[in-house]
Amino acid sequence: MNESALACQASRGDKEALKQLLTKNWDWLKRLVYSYMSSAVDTEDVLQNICIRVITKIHTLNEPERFKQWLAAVARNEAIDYRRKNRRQPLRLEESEIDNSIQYDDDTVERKDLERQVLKAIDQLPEKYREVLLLQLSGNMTYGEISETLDIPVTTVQIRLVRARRMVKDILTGKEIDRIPRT
Amino acid sequence: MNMSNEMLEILMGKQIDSEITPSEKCLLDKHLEADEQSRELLKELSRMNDITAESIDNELASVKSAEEIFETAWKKTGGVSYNYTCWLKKNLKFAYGLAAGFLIGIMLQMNSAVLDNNTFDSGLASNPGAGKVGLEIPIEDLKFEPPERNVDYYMFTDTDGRRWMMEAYRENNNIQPAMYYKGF
Repeated sequence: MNESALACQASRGDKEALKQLLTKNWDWLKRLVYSYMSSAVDTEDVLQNICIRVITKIHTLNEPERFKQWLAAVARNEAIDYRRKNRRQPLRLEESEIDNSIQYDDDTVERKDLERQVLKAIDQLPEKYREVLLLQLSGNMTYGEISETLDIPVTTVQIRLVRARRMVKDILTGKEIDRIPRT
Repeated sequence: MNMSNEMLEILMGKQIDSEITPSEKCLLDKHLEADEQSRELLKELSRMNDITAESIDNELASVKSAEEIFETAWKKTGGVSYNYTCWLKKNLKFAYGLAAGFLIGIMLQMNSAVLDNNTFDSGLASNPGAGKVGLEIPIEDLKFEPPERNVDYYMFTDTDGRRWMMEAYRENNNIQPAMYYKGF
């Protein structure tokens, strides 16, 4: 069954259709929320709130073919609400519980360190660049789908991706970041 | 053909994301062949993309699955009430229309009942016991005497359900139709 049909059924109260719909969109949704929260723990909390909101408000979806856009808007609003209510700094990787009891080999340590640096660099990106970069990194969204979900033109997606990658590279190499353009 | 840096990076990005068209690939390959720095840049961006994807995957590996989070959320909202509320909200318009129609129906019914009570057969009121009517008598032949009984108008319904108005008088709690002299 295609997504519009599932969304239609879900808006009529079909629990299984709603569950299927969320499962299908889970990957990009998770990454989108992470782009706003920068913490796996907070991401999970916000995803829970999003599910609650979707369950209670799905009947208000008048255009089933725009489910993705609707879901992205719900995700954005829930993330903003969560940040406002919690008002704490996002959990940085060095504050997280890194298991020091595990012995890593040198390559793994180097890799882990690099991952940490990459996540820090992504965290420093402006939100609009982080959004598109994380959605693209989910691996199963085309530029067209990203453009549709975020309701922005495809060319904007391409440009933001270029700038996001450039900024991450500059941060990792210690280069000063250029002034952030409007797009 | 000289390409701007941004154009070059867009093509490299499309190459990394497998979104590049054949004509764009041709253009990019031509440029990369001639420029070693661009080849290095593409390698670097590609490697960085892989590490970034892996970092995000590892970071989000601890997040629960859709099914788990959905079931917890479902319990919190109360699935049964969701179905009922969903049904109610969807059918509210229909319910409003039905209620409005019902009210209009009742009002029309009441209105019609009120009208029924006020109407009567417009057929001529006739006195069942009367003789001929409509005879012309010269007025000088009429001898007026004071009436012995006062007649009044009474409504009655016959066996066929038709309503009549007749002149009658009450005597000893009985209604008697007014009788008229045959000559009138």
